Amino acid sequence: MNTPQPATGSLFHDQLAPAREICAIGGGKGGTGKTFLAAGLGIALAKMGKRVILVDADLGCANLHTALGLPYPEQTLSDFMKEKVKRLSDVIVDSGIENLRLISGAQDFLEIANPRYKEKMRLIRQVQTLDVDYIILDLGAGTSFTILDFFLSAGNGLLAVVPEPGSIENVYRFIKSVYFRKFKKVARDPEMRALITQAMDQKNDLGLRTPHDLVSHIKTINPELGARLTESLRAIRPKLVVNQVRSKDDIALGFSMRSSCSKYFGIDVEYLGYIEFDDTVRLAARHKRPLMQEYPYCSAARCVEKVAQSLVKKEQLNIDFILRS
Amino acid sequence: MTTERNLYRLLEVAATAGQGEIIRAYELAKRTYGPESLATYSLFNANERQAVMAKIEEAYRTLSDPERRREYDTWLAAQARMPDGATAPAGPPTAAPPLPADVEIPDVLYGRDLKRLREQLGVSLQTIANLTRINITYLHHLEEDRHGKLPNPVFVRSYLLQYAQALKLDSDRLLAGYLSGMTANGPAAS
Repeated sequence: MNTPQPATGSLFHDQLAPAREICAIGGGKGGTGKTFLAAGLGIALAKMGKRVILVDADLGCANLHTALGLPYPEQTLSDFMKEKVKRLSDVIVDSGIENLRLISGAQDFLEIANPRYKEKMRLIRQVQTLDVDYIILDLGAGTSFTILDFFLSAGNGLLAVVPEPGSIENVYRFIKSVYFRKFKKVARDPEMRALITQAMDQKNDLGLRTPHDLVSHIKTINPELGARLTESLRAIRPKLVVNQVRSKDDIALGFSMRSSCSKYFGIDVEYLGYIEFDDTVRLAARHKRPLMQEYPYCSAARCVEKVAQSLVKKEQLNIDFILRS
Repeated sequence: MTTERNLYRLLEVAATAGQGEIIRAYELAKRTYGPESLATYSLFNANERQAVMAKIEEAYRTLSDPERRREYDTWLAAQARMPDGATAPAGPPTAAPPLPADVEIPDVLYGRDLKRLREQLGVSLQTIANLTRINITYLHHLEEDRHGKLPNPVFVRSYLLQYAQALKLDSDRLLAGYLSGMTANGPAAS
């Protein structure tokens, strides 16, 4: 089904080098299913015939190997970070699942969780040159610069959220952090900086309450710079995955979050999909076995497959599909 | 609160959206910016949420009314043609403004007609329940002509008016039609 069809309209597309997609999975809070999602999507994509490498980028707290049912491998990111090996590809291990390989995270060093800028960039650069169809980065919890930079380096930034206030707040906090990390990078330009200072000075008089208002206002003062700022911020298109949904209201949450982000930040959040709450997830975890292998037909596994398909097709959830029924 | 002035973008629908999509987008907005919403309280305070909702209400009033929507579309297209493109909203409809599904209310109508009209617009009963706050069981009774299970006629009139308003249909005509249907004793169930 996924084999290229030479005679179709996508002729040129198929002739190009395989498009390498990098997905980073973050979301701020711990326990929202980042590692579960990374392992699940990795397996689902591999089953679709995509060549996948999972990277455990939860530096210091790595356990993606366990989610795949593997022992802690002998070669890990730690060897690469400490420059015991030159190339990232030297620490790739087999997952035992066809098309799927793993770069396991570092567990040993305290300083590894907070790499220096140069080390971090070396890792990001080499991740970008891995020769596969999909690279999935499992990010840790929190909003450290390392995590934010990994997230920004990926073409697809996925956010795992569960329908609970704490998780939702943290996802917004995460988006805010990513947003301002990007904002500051663009705002290094002195002219831009002056504009922002000017806008911030009159913030209250102008009724500027949200980042969206600020950017809109900058656009009116200086359309050219405003457009540049908007463009770079619009490149942040986080993809939401709502995990552990138990009702239609839980599913609708993703649409509401998408709307809030558009009104607050002026950015486009995509609602990639949702995963139904399913007790078998915990069961599989207890057995240290990947859900997708242990219970491939359970509702959560089906949901993960749907999310993987949407990722490949670059689609998002259709609001009518949910609200119409 | 929000500086967005394009009504389509405010309501987060495409410029080609049909009547049903507009109603559904409005219902979602009510959930999103309502007091109970988990999705907004940590980004907006209560006043800000109300301000956003007020703008959405305004957008909805215009876009759900075919006449006003046509006027707005004409205005929008004219804006887009203005030479100083700075404030021109992107993506105004270039084709003729889309009309809502062609719905005609018969003189005498029964529950099944209500249902057909609603489905023609692509609106779920749940959406109507959320918009009107009418218990969905009563809405089911209305659509299935279970008149005996409906409350006092005063309430039934009010339900019908709200039902019509939620779908942006002619409420007087719909009420009169349904009441005629009730007295005509057509396909009434228990």
